[in-house]
Amino acid sequence: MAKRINTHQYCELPNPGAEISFQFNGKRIQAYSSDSITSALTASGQTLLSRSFKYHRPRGAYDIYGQGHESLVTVNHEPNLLADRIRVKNGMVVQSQNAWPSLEFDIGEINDTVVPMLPNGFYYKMFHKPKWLWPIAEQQIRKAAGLGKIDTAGKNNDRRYEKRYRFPDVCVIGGGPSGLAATLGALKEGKQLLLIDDNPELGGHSLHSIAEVSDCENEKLNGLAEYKAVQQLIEELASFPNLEVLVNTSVFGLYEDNLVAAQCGADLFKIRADSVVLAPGATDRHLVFENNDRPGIMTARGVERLIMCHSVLPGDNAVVVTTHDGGYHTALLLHGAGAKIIAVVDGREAGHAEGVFEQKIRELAIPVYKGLTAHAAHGRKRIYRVDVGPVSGGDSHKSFDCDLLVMAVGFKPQVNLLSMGRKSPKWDTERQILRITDLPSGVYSAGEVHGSAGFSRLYSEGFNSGKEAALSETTPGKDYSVQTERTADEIIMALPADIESGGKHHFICKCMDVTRSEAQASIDEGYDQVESLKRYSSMGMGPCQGKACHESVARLAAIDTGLSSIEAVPTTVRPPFTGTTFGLLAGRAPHLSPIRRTPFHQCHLDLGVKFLDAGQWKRPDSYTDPLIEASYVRNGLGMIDVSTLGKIEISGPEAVKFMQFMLPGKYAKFEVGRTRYSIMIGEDGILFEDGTISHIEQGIYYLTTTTGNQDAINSLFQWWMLVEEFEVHVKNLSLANAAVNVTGTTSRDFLQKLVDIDMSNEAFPYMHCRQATIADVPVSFYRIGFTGELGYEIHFPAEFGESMWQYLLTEGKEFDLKPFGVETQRILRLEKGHLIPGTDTDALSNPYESGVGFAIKDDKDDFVGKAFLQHFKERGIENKLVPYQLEPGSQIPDDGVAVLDKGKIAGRVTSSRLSPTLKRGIGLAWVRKDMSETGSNFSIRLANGQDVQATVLDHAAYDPEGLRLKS
Amino acid sequence: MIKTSPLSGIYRNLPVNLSEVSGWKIAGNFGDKDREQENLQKGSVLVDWSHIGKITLSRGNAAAAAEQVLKGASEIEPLKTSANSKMAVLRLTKNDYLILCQPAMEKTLLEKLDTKITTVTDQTGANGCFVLGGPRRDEVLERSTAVDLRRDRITASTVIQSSIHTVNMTLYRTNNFDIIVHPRNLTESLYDALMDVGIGVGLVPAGIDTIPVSFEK
Repeated sequence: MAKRINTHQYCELPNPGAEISFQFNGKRIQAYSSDSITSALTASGQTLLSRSFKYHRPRGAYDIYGQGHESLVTVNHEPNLLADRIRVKNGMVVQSQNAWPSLEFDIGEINDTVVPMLPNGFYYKMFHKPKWLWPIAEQQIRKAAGLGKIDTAGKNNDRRYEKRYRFPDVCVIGGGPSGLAATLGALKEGKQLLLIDDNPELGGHSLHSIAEVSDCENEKLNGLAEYKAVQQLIEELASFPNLEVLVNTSVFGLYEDNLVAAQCGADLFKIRADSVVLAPGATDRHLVFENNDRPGIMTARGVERLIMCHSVLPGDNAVVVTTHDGGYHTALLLHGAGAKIIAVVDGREAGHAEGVFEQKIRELAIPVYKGLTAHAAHGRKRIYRVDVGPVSGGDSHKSFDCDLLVMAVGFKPQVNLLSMGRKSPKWDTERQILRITDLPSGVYSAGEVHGSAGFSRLYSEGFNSGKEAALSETTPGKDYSVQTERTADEIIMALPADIESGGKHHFICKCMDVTRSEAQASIDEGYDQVESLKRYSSMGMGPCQGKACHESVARLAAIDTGLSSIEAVPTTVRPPFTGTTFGLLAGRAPHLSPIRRTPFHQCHLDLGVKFLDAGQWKRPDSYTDPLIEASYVRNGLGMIDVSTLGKIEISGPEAVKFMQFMLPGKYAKFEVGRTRYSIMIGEDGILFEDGTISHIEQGIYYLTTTTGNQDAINSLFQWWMLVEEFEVHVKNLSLANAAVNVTGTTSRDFLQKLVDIDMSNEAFPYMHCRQATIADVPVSFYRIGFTGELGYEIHFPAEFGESMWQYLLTEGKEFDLKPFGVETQRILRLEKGHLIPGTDTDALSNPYESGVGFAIKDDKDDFVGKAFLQHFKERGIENKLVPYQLEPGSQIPDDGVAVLDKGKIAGRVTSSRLSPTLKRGIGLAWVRKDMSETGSNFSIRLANGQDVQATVLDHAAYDPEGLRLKS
Repeated sequence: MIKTSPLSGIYRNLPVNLSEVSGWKIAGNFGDKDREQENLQKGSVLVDWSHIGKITLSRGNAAAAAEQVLKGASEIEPLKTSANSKMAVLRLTKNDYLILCQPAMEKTLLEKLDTKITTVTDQTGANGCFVLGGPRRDEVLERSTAVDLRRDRITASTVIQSSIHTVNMTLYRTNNFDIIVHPRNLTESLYDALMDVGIGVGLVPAGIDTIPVSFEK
């Protein structure tokens, strides 16, 4: 049984912190504040942590590092968190996953018996006949799939996802001895450093090593036990102000140009470093044998962490299976914590040089067996016996009763961040590991990730890498290939990828419950390439994404497909390296789509507006019923916010020349005080914009554009000014000026009350502009008629927006001035037959066919789009945008429905509304030329499949002579 | 007629005390000056300076025009600033300047500037302006923009043109503050975004009583 320890024979134990309690599956668990969830549960005697994905086999603490699925739990309603990595907190609520009705008694465990009887990959092959079976089966399969349950209702989701940015000179990833030394090396060059480690404390594996440091370049550390040396190194680093340390932070991706992506809680760090030093270290190698997944089987470093970092002894009677002196080190730590070491089983044959810890174990008279390894474990919820035998497999030689089996069979470098889909690891036959040696520019690596061992060597490699990284900009063209040295006694032999000891529970991939026999069956079915094997069997596709098994998968796939070990190729390693939530990647969406508000926004809110989203703009759709609002304008006085219009002032010696070139109209005789309708066409001759242009003062012109094109047109103007070098001033006043359109039969009378200029029709006719003041605020008036009614656009500085709106509404009370919205305006303009580019036109609409050819004066020098306009003119009209009306009482079509001729599609409706003035449907539609004659009829197909008849109009449906707006 | 800040909608929901400055209604404080001062000393504050004058100079001989309002302005390196207590002249590119000045001072400057040699645009009402102050303001910025704003690289008097919370901005760094000029129509959204990320790092809204308008290198 596991238990808490207070003292240790060979080392000092850390201060456990305050006593706290938390809940696990409803049970109160006592713990210390320094505990991880796993260590606290282990200390409390909780053997089971989770159930496996497919077979629901019991799983317990394994590496205390949080790489596998074993430690996945739900914490405070957030699923799939790694219990190994999370510090317990008072009141925390932890629940196990993938078990029903309980973790101890899980009905799903029946799969462990049933599924192996089914054909390999049965879920791909069954349930397809009869056809009706699959939807039912799919539902059940989906129900069974997955581990934790997401809080889809979001009732308990109070996480705040942040994106944060860092720009260090050097980013060191990994806080073990190599990473710490690399940090020191770079700091001594005066650089800004960011050190990241995924554990709560820096120090890496040295935190639980009692090996004495010797021959270290940093002489102060010599003679200290590693766990003390590393603390001293951390203290030394703390004196550097240029160092930032992020612990509990998982780097999950390393991308182009040294972009490092890391997760710290709900914060996503995007780090752009000049250089990156990768010192991710290594984890204990996975050993494949019968029942190698049972609770009670742990990695050596996992056991060491429990003892030295959490003061927890994970078992009373231990068997240590090893191939290097590190296993003896673990055995010694277990012994010092009070465990009985039943045996140390060393895969090496007798005769090799004994390490320091092996000698100590022998001095303690602990039995050591050479040339053997684990063959099988016995026990379901906790092992009680282990069989050992030759490393080559076959029959077992011995059995030991034990409750803890410790695996110390070498190390598996964490090459993921070195690879990231760009570099492929290769089997290094000398070092017996998968390695990556050629790294991208600006990326350095050091330490156990290259199979290096021993504190002094790790320190030396790390320090030099850090220094090189810091000096990288001064050594351009440097060879970035990794060069490390190894001595023969540092090589740890790799045991066979699978101990062929019989049985059918040799788990290669524990996350996805894939056994050796399943992998072999898949290969027999033809999936004999490692990538296809992975996809078919799902090996390496579980929560750890192959971190635990990718070496075993590669080696076994090589063996089973008849390749040599050197040809073992692991599957491609891509980001994310660690599990990452979608919430983290998404962040908080509102910040990504800001809202543009007009200067009158608050006034609209006060009036109870219904807003319309026009791109990022919030525009008033309507305040009441658009049909009623339309009547305000037709019969009285209305006001609409048109601040979103683009507003560009053009002046300078070559202003006319510039306008003549950019616009298709002629402006040489454009008089001061006049306003004109203007269109803009692209170089391809396509109509993309319309608005007005006014000559407001001698040599100063004021162009308005539609809302959507204000930035595009300003950019287009700026671009052409660079190309042609016009001597012209172009000012974008789109945001500087607010604007309203005051329109209706009494608009003149109303405005005359506010200004001291003559607003009469004679003094200020239609399509003219004037400047004046309203309540001492300078304003510009543009008498135009988009609504088809007498109306004035009023432009003035945006900062007066709210005040001016209120002032106009107040002063307009006697005229019954009412605000109206964009939807109302759309009805009004449609009654008048005005098009809106982009709504009634598209990327193929030329101005002649759109009915605005009158705005083109092509008898002038070259201008933008002239060549194509000439072509369109010569080609003639093929299709035409025409105004139409429906019979009274006809149903109103939706925008975009088809126009039919003799049952065949012959065009489309672009805008369609009920005219409250004419009491019938009106609209604009693209039709063939032969259908566009005034008085022609065509059919419009409604969404319900019925047709309505439309009649082509000559001009506007409302006030075709324009008498009202010119009045 | 009163000139209103683009943050007027935010003001309505906070216990603001408005000050009238050159015709503008701008936040003087938000009901607790001591708290704002404390945050300025220990946390971070966000102050609305939308009422300051803002003039752009572009094309032609913008440098010569800038020299007309501040001696030495033509010699500033691009993305650097020259300032006195009344105005700051930001050189955005070789031939683009942004002048920030005390409220209402833009009228005087516009009269001084020769509109024949460059394009002079009064953008006072077109742009909002925030001042981010306090020792923890970097923590707000590092959550708000992907731009490298390391203080040893982006020193006082430096100008950055980039985006913050997807909003285009011009950031002018002084020894004590970061001044952010941005489009007026996005002011409220930017305020919301900054306050949202700033909650955890002690960001509070403050008024011009806490950081009065004054420019410095």
